[in-house]
Amino acid sequence: MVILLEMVKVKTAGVRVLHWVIFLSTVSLVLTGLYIADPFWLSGSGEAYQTFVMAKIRLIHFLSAIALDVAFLMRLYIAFFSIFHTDWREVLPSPGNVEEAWQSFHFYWTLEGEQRERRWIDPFDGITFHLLHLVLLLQLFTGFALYVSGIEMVAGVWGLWAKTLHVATDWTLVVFGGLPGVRLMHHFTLWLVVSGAFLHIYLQIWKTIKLQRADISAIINGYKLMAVKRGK
Amino acid sequence: MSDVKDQVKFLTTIDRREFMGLCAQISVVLGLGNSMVPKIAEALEGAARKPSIIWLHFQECTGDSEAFLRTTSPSVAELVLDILSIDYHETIMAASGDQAEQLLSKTMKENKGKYLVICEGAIPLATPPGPAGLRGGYLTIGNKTGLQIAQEVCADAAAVICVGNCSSYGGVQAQRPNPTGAVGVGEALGIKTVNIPACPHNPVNSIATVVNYLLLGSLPPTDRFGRPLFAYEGRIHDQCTRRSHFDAGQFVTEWGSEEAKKGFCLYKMGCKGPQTYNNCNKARYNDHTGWPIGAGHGCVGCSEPKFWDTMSPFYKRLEGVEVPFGGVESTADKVGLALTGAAAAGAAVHAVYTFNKKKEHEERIIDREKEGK
Repeated sequence: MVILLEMVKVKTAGVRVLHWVIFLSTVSLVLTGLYIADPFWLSGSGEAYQTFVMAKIRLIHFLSAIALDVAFLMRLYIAFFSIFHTDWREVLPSPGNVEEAWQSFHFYWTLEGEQRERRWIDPFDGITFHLLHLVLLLQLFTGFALYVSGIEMVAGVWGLWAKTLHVATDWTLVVFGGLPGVRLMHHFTLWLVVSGAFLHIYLQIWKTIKLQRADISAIINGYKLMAVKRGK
Repeated sequence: MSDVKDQVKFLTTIDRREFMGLCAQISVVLGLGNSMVPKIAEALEGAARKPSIIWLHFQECTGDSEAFLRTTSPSVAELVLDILSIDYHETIMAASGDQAEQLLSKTMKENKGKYLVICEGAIPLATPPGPAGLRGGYLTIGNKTGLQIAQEVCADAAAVICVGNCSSYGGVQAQRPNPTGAVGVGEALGIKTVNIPACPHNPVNSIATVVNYLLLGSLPPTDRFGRPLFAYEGRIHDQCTRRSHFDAGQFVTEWGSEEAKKGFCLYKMGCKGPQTYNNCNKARYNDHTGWPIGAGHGCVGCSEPKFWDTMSPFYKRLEGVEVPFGGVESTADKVGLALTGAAAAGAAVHAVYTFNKKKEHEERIIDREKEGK
């Protein structure tokens, strides 16, 4: 069988850069987060004033979190207002999406049924991305709830920031049962992010190998392959 | 105190120096300056406005009374007789039986709408089994349940101050499975109370709350758990004397180790300082000499609602996760690693299966939809 494949632009530079910012900050957050949860390595030696290990790791954690959140919000903006392609419809679950995602899931496991070739995010990816980003949002809210818990008695712009964070995140204290519950949830959600990211990476590698449409290429150079013509 | 005469003298005279010391401490706790010390002294000395206080005991261990009585500046006698007018306190009052009950009703009648109620202990709401089952019947004093007593006494009170975690949020007896249905006083009566939680509470905070009421005629501003902000705005972790060791990454990993002797951070030993709001390090216990972390033991979070359930295990940093099936107490790490492991195993199975399947799947791929744009 002969298939003519064509390189199609699917992702703009902005989307790709944001993807890798999110990737790098997530890796940084997971590593520093595991250290903060259980400082198993890099213990400071000497007097306390000579070393600043935990404080530095926490600073990296906070900066990565800000990077992730800003990238997240920018990506959200692009999803709605991109001049290249607005992709929020693909990520929101709709009856049509869910059905096609289920077909894809079936195809991935059995290589039977049908797999529709999609130029933009396909429904299976779309729905899993949706879930993964909800998990990231949960990390954002629980993380800021923990962060703002250490800020007290402030005025001015910094106080406004603290107040904003309180308004935005105090509900997590109610839902998860105070700071211990929020901390536990924040820690547990780390593993949801790790397993979700693992499955995402695996699926993209699998698709690239098995379906031969250069799916991974899309997030690096912005192009993937799509069939133009088939023949015997 | 060698002889009785001295003792009597000690118990009945006001030592001006100690009294001014107390005023200065309260000023510090309330976040006021030196200039306010005379005003505090005035408020405490003003005989006409000396508040009548009724101290109620419910489900508790009397630890908060003990803490209250352990203050040395002012001494117990000054506190009870001169500074405050503690008219009813079951543990330290001389009267008993009918006499005590009469004293209670007399105090309530004479100071209607003006007296302060300090509550210690949780109120049980469950109904004990048996024919004479009475709501809240797990606690009765003089044929009245704790709930009835609290309702009667608090109805005409100027303010209700809850000391200790039990009266504030239910304390240890309100934790799972909570057989007596214990809740805090505010929750039991559906009223707003000023809560001074901790186990036991620091008397400086409760006296400061009373002083705030005497000075300004109003109760101090509180957080959403009813705790006065002057004492409970900051976390233990952020005012800890061992905080520099936390930032330096210097942790105790074993009790009695060299690190413990050096006073390193107790974070890895399960210290709950990062999730607990209190002023322990500023106010301190036992005549302002010590506090748990200063003594080498991690904070257990005793000033937080549901502190036993949410803060345990005390010697681990994160509580266990109850896995729905089997009810096995696990940790977030174990469950998370299991999830990730399951994902990896699923991926491995998937890879082995799909890459070995000799099937032409290319024709299964439906050509791209006609892109409209």
